[in-house]
Amino acid sequence: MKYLYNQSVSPPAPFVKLIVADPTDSTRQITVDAQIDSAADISTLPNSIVEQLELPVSGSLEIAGYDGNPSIVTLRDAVLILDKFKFSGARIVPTNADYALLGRDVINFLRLVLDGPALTLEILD
Amino acid sequence: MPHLIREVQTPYTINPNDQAIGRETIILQHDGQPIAAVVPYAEYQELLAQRKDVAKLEPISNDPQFERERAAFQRLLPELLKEHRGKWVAIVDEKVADVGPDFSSVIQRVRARFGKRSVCVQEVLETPRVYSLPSPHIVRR
Repeated sequence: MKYLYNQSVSPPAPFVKLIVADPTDSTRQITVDAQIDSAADISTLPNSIVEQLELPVSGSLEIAGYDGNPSIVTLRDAVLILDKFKFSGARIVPTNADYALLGRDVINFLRLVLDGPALTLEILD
Repeated sequence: MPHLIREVQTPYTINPNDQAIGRETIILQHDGQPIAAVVPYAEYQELLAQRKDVAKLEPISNDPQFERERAAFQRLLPELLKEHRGKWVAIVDEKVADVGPDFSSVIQRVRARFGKRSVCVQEVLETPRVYSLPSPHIVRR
Protein backbone atom coordinates (compact mmCIF):
# COMPACT_ATOMS: atom_id res chain seq x y z
CA MET A 1 0.00 0.00 0.00
CA LYS A 2 1.37 3.39 -1.01
CA TYR A 3 0.49 6.77 0.55
CA LEU A 4 1.30 10.27 -0.61
CA TYR A 5 2.91 12.45 2.05
CA ASN A 6 0.61 14.91 3.76
CA GLN A 7 1.55 18.19 2.07
CA SER A 8 -0.65 20.38 4.22
CA VAL A 9 2.10 20.26 6.85
CA SER A 10 5.49 21.84 6.29
CA PRO A 11 7.73 20.13 5.50
CA PRO A 12 5.51 17.34 4.08
CA ALA A 13 5.27 14.26 6.32
CA PRO A 14 4.35 10.58 5.99
CA PHE A 15 0.76 9.98 7.12
CA VAL A 16 -1.47 6.90 6.86
CA LYS A 17 -5.14 6.14 7.39
CA LEU A 18 -5.38 4.29 10.69
CA ILE A 19 -8.46 2.43 11.88
CA VAL A 20 -8.92 2.50 15.65
CA ALA A 21 -11.25 -0.05 17.23
CA ASP A 22 -12.72 -0.53 20.69
CA PRO A 23 -10.77 -3.39 22.34
CA THR A 24 -14.00 -4.92 23.66
CA ASP A 25 -16.14 -4.45 20.55
CA SER A 26 -14.21 -4.45 17.29
CA THR A 27 -17.30 -3.33 15.33
CA ARG A 28 -16.89 0.13 16.90
CA GLN A 29 -14.25 1.75 14.69
CA ILE A 30 -13.08 5.21 13.71
CA THR A 31 -10.57 6.15 10.99
CA VAL A 32 -7.98 8.80 11.79
CA ASP A 33 -4.97 10.33 10.06
CA ALA A 34 -1.76 9.10 11.68
CA GLN A 35 1.75 10.44 11.24
CA ILE A 36 4.64 8.00 11.14
CA ASP A 37 6.96 9.15 13.94
CA SER A 38 10.11 7.10 14.43
CA ALA A 39 11.20 9.43 17.27
CA ALA A 40 8.20 8.46 19.42
CA ASP A 41 8.59 5.47 21.74
CA ILE A 42 4.82 5.04 21.92
CA SER A 43 1.73 5.81 19.84
CA THR A 44 -0.85 8.51 20.51
CA LEU A 45 -4.47 9.20 19.61
CA PRO A 46 -6.53 12.39 19.66
CA ASN A 47 -8.72 12.80 22.76
CA SER A 48 -11.77 13.01 20.51
CA ILE A 49 -11.20 9.43 19.27
CA VAL A 50 -10.47 8.18 22.79
CA GLU A 51 -13.72 9.71 24.03
CA GLN A 52 -15.91 8.62 21.11
CA LEU A 53 -14.77 5.00 21.41
CA GLU A 54 -14.66 5.24 25.22
CA LEU A 55 -11.28 3.55 25.21
CA PRO A 56 -10.70 2.13 28.70
CA VAL A 57 -7.89 3.17 31.05
CA SER A 58 -5.23 0.49 31.23
CA GLY A 59 -2.26 1.93 33.11
CA SER A 60 0.04 4.87 33.38
CA LEU A 61 3.52 5.80 32.25
CA GLU A 62 6.07 8.54 32.48
CA ILE A 63 6.64 10.55 29.32
CA ALA A 64 9.36 13.03 28.46
CA GLY A 65 7.94 15.45 25.91
CA TYR A 66 9.69 17.73 23.46
CA ASP A 67 10.77 19.98 26.35
CA GLY A 68 12.36 17.00 28.08
CA ASN A 69 10.21 17.42 31.19
CA PRO A 70 8.71 14.10 32.31
CA SER A 71 5.07 13.82 33.31
CA ILE A 72 2.91 10.87 34.31
CA VAL A 73 -0.06 10.18 32.05
CA THR A 74 -2.84 7.62 31.91
CA LEU A 75 -2.85 5.09 29.10
CA ARG A 76 -5.69 3.60 27.08
CA ASP A 77 -5.69 0.44 25.03
CA ALA A 78 -7.12 -0.10 21.58
CA VAL A 79 -6.99 -2.24 18.48
CA LEU A 80 -5.14 -0.52 15.61
CA ILE A 81 -5.64 -1.60 12.01
CA LEU A 82 -3.34 -0.42 9.24
CA ASP A 83 -4.02 -1.95 5.83
CA LYS A 84 -3.70 -5.70 6.40
CA PHE A 85 -1.93 -5.34 9.75
CA LYS A 86 -3.81 -5.55 13.03
CA PHE A 87 -2.32 -4.56 16.39
CA SER A 88 -4.39 -5.86 19.28
CA GLY A 89 -3.64 -4.62 22.78
CA ALA A 90 -1.89 -1.46 21.60
CA ARG A 91 -0.95 1.10 24.25
CA ILE A 92 -2.24 4.58 23.53
CA VAL A 93 -1.40 7.99 24.97
CA PRO A 94 -4.28 10.47 24.51
CA THR A 95 -3.24 13.93 23.26
CA ASN A 96 -4.84 17.20 22.27
CA ALA A 97 -3.62 16.90 18.67
CA ASP A 98 -6.15 16.25 15.90
CA TYR A 99 -4.14 13.42 14.37
CA ALA A 100 -2.51 10.26 15.71
CA LEU A 101 1.17 9.41 15.97
CA LEU A 102 2.39 5.92 15.16
CA GLY A 103 5.49 5.41 17.26
CA ARG A 104 8.13 2.70 17.19
CA ASP A 105 5.94 0.43 19.33
CA VAL A 106 3.89 -0.08 16.14
CA ILE A 107 6.13 0.80 13.19
CA ASN A 108 8.88 -1.57 14.29
CA PHE A 109 6.56 -4.37 13.18
CA LEU A 110 6.30 -2.91 9.68
CA ARG A 111 8.53 -2.65 6.63
CA LEU A 112 8.24 0.97 5.49
CA VAL A 113 9.80 2.72 2.51
CA LEU A 114 10.01 6.50 2.85
CA ASP A 115 10.69 8.06 -0.53
CA GLY A 116 11.28 11.69 0.31
CA PRO A 117 11.89 13.04 -3.20
CA ALA A 118 8.72 11.32 -4.45
CA LEU A 119 6.83 12.26 -1.24
CA THR A 120 5.52 8.71 -0.88
CA LEU A 121 5.35 6.17 1.92
CA GLU A 122 4.97 2.49 1.07
CA ILE A 123 4.04 -0.27 3.51
CA LEU A 124 5.51 -3.53 2.23
CA ASP A 125 3.86 -6.90 2.80
CA MET B 1 22.21 -13.53 58.51
CA PRO B 2 19.50 -12.38 60.98
CA HIS B 3 19.72 -13.35 64.64
CA LEU B 4 16.86 -15.40 66.05
CA ILE B 5 15.32 -14.83 69.47
CA ARG B 6 13.05 -17.70 70.43
CA GLU B 7 10.36 -17.47 73.10
CA VAL B 8 11.56 -18.50 76.53
CA GLN B 9 9.62 -19.21 79.70
CA THR B 10 11.11 -16.26 81.53
CA PRO B 11 10.96 -12.64 80.37
CA TYR B 12 13.99 -11.64 78.39
CA THR B 13 15.77 -8.34 78.16
CA ILE B 14 17.73 -6.83 75.32
CA ASN B 15 21.13 -5.52 76.15
CA PRO B 16 21.64 -2.23 74.26
CA ASN B 17 25.35 -2.94 74.32
CA ASP B 18 24.77 -6.12 72.30
CA GLN B 19 26.85 -5.72 69.14
CA ALA B 20 24.00 -7.06 66.99
CA ILE B 21 21.46 -4.41 68.10
CA GLY B 22 21.31 -1.61 65.58
CA ARG B 23 23.56 -3.38 63.12
CA GLU B 24 21.69 -6.50 62.14
CA THR B 25 18.09 -7.59 61.73
CA ILE B 26 16.80 -9.66 64.66
CA ILE B 27 13.78 -11.91 64.09
CA LEU B 28 11.49 -12.64 67.05
CA GLN B 29 9.74 -16.00 66.90
CA HIS B 30 6.71 -17.47 68.64
CA ASP B 31 6.01 -21.21 68.34
CA GLY B 32 8.67 -21.35 65.68
CA GLN B 33 6.96 -18.69 63.57
CA PRO B 34 8.48 -15.24 62.94
CA ILE B 35 6.31 -12.56 64.58
CA ALA B 36 8.44 -9.42 64.50
CA ALA B 37 11.75 -8.02 63.38
CA VAL B 38 14.09 -5.60 65.08
CA VAL B 39 15.82 -3.65 62.37
CA PRO B 40 18.59 -1.06 62.50
CA TYR B 41 17.14 2.42 63.04
CA ALA B 42 18.37 3.73 59.67
CA GLU B 43 16.55 0.88 57.92
CA TYR B 44 13.40 1.67 59.93
CA GLN B 45 13.53 5.29 58.77
CA GLU B 46 13.94 4.12 55.18
CA LEU B 47 10.85 1.91 55.51
CA LEU B 48 8.85 4.83 56.94
CA ALA B 49 9.95 7.04 54.03
CA GLN B 50 8.87 4.36 51.52
CA ARG B 51 5.48 4.10 53.22
CA LYS B 52 5.06 7.88 52.99
CA ASP B 53 5.98 7.78 49.29
CA VAL B 54 3.13 5.35 48.64
CA ALA B 55 0.74 7.36 50.81
CA LYS B 56 1.48 10.60 48.95
CA LEU B 57 0.93 9.06 45.50
CA GLU B 58 -0.79 11.89 43.71
CA PRO B 59 -3.78 11.11 41.50
CA ILE B 60 -3.12 11.47 37.79
CA SER B 61 -6.72 11.07 36.66
CA ASN B 62 -10.27 11.68 37.85
CA ASP B 63 -10.98 7.94 37.59
CA PRO B 64 -11.26 6.59 41.18
CA GLN B 65 -11.29 2.96 40.04
CA PHE B 66 -8.01 3.38 38.16
CA GLU B 67 -6.46 5.34 41.04
CA ARG B 68 -7.28 2.45 43.41
CA GLU B 69 -5.64 -0.06 41.05
CA ARG B 70 -2.62 2.22 40.62
CA ALA B 71 -2.22 2.64 44.39
CA ALA B 72 -2.52 -1.13 44.80
CA PHE B 73 0.29 -1.62 42.26
CA GLN B 74 2.52 0.72 44.28
CA ARG B 75 1.68 -1.13 47.50
CA LEU B 76 2.36 -4.52 45.92
CA LEU B 77 5.51 -3.42 44.08
CA PRO B 78 8.08 -4.69 46.64
CA GLU B 79 6.56 -8.19 46.46
CA LEU B 80 6.10 -8.02 42.69
CA LEU B 81 9.79 -7.15 42.27
CA LYS B 82 10.69 -10.39 44.03
CA GLU B 83 8.49 -12.59 41.85
CA HIS B 84 7.86 -10.79 38.57
CA ARG B 85 10.70 -8.34 37.98
CA GLY B 86 10.78 -7.23 34.33
CA LYS B 87 7.35 -8.70 33.56
CA TRP B 88 4.00 -6.97 33.09
CA VAL B 89 1.26 -7.37 35.68
CA ALA B 90 -2.42 -6.46 35.59
CA ILE B 91 -3.98 -5.17 38.79
CA VAL B 92 -7.75 -5.63 38.92
CA ASP B 93 -9.77 -5.14 42.12
CA GLU B 94 -6.47 -4.30 43.84
CA LYS B 95 -5.09 -7.81 43.19
CA VAL B 96 -2.77 -9.30 40.61
CA ALA B 97 -5.05 -10.65 37.87
CA ASP B 98 -2.51 -11.53 35.18
CA VAL B 99 1.22 -11.63 34.49
CA GLY B 100 2.97 -11.80 31.14
CA PRO B 101 6.03 -10.86 29.11
CA ASP B 102 4.49 -7.77 27.47
CA PHE B 103 1.64 -5.27 27.76
CA SER B 104 -0.18 -6.55 24.70
CA SER B 105 -0.62 -10.17 25.80
CA VAL B 106 -1.64 -9.16 29.32
CA ILE B 107 -4.21 -6.52 28.34
CA GLN B 108 -5.83 -8.80 25.74
CA ARG B 109 -6.44 -11.50 28.38
CA VAL B 110 -7.65 -8.88 30.87
CA ARG B 111 -10.14 -7.39 28.37
CA ALA B 112 -11.44 -10.88 27.51
CA ARG B 113 -11.92 -11.64 31.21
CA PHE B 114 -13.05 -8.32 32.68
CA GLY B 115 -14.37 -6.35 29.69
CA LYS B 116 -14.24 -2.58 29.47
CA ARG B 117 -13.22 -1.29 32.88
CA SER B 118 -10.28 0.62 34.27
CA VAL B 119 -7.35 -1.62 35.10
CA CYS B 120 -3.68 -1.00 35.81
CA VAL B 121 -1.21 -2.92 33.65
CA GLN B 122 2.34 -1.98 34.54
CA GLU B 123 5.88 -3.17 33.96
CA VAL B 124 7.46 -4.40 37.20
CA LEU B 125 10.57 -2.25 37.55
CA GLU B 126 12.18 -0.52 40.52
CA THR B 127 12.40 2.73 38.58
CA PRO B 128 9.67 3.30 35.99
CA ARG B 129 10.85 3.58 32.40
CA VAL B 130 10.56 7.10 30.92
CA TYR B 131 9.14 7.08 27.39
CA SER B 132 10.14 9.68 24.84
CA LEU B 133 7.50 11.53 22.86
CA PRO B 134 9.45 14.42 21.37
CA SER B 135 6.82 15.68 18.91
CA PRO B 136 5.17 18.79 20.34
CA HIS B 137 1.85 17.16 21.21
CA ILE B 138 0.07 18.18 24.38
CA VAL B 139 -0.39 15.03 26.36
CA ARG B 140 -3.60 14.76 28.33
CA ARG B 141 -3.30 13.63 31.92
